[in-house]
Amino acid sequence: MPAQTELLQQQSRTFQGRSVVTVEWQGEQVEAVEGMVAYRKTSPTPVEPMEAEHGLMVNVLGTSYPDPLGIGVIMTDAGLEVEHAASAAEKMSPDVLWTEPVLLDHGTLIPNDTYFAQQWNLADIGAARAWDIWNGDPRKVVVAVLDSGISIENGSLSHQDLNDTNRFFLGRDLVNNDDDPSDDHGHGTHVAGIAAAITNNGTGVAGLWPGLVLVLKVFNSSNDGSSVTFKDGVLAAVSFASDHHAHLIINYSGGGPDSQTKKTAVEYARDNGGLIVAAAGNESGGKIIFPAAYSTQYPNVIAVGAVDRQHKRPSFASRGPEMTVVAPGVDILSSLPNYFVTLNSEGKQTKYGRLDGTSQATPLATALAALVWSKWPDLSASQVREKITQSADSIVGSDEDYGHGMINAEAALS
Amino acid sequence: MTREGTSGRIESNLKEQDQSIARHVENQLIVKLKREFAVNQVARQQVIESLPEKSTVGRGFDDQGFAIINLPEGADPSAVAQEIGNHQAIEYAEPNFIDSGAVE
Repeated sequence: MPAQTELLQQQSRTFQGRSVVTVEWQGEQVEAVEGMVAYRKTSPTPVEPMEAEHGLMVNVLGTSYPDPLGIGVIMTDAGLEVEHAASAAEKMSPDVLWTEPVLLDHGTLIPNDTYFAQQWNLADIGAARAWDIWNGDPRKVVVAVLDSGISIENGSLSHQDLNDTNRFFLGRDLVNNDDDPSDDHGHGTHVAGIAAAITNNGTGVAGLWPGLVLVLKVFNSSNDGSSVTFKDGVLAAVSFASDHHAHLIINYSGGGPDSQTKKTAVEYARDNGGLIVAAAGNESGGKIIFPAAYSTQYPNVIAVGAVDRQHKRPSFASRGPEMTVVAPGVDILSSLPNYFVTLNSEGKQTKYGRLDGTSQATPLATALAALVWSKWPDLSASQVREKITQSADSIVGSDEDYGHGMINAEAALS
Repeated sequence: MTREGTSGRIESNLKEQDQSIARHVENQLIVKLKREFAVNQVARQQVIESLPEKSTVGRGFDDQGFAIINLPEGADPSAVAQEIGNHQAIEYAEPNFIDSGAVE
């Protein structure tokens, strides 16, 4: 998809053909353009190219420098350290007032998706800034969405925000035992859109994660699954990730009782390096459901609770000591199937709609974990969890309501 | 609508347990053999023979020793799980609990 390609190209870490590097400048780590140094001198006379220390050349950028302010830029061989280049510039002219690396500024990507301005969940976790600083490989991580499926018509991905066949892979329907994970409830299409809708394609909603997605249907048209369909989904997801040499993050926007089968599946994911991000549940202040509630037993499980626009726990959401983090989960706009499904009989429109639930909070945490893992592919699942928790914004109140606080995409990727 | 798959007849046959969230697929039992018995045919046969009469195998033992058993009408999976759980080849037996999407 051209729009997606544009977004990915934006993540490239070069500027004017030179690499973007992190340097120490005035006691801080900053991003700068490799081998470029800015200077200001009192007279407008140009500086001359010269050989700097270590035999490396310093060249003048353009003929119009210095500009009327006396500011110019010199370019060095890429390997020259910033301080050497700076001292070379000072030697070139006695009236140089100062030198500094050419520091990188970031534009903030505002995607052109029609409803982006209504996606308060993306705004409140700092998604736009996160996209600017993310430079990961979108094929290093696969997000497996274990849910009610995705919008499919005539055997093909049919939603305009979820139809990139280079990104969305159709796995099995583990409820009906076939290869058609068509969404007949609507929940799965909504969840997939929050995590990974095509961004910057001029229509619909934006999704946080621009990489690989595996769709596995484990919930039926009533939005119910079982410990067996969960286990089967985990097995299929592990196999897919292994085949694609990608890290695995399982999004499970649901849950139920504790079960040996479920626990065995979580252990299998752990043993294969997989991370499970699961909904804390909508038990109206009651206990956190499983598998989310395994978060205190297994470091590869993240329990995600919900907050409203005021960043408070909505009354429907579960709470408990197993809470890891929270994310926006009220009035969340996302994709819905193009055709009639169970949710439409409950008053929802086709194509797009707003839903509430820890189901809606979970995929945002999943997508952020995917951005983090793709940026730092050497991390383990538990280290990705640590990145998410340590960068979360704490919320005044009980840890049982908010865990480590609300996810912060910009902080997690910084 | 009733769907028959690996999860059994979820939509029409939910059974409420003591806790509101502890629902399971009616008449269905999960049996997991210990690793050392996972592919042992004698152990598999013994476990099947220890099940209540008229039980059928919904999904036979896989390489991990995992199987789904369809119990006769009216059988309580939790009770059967307790009865056969002490068999030396069994790691655990339990009902097939229902999960749900966490949307309001």
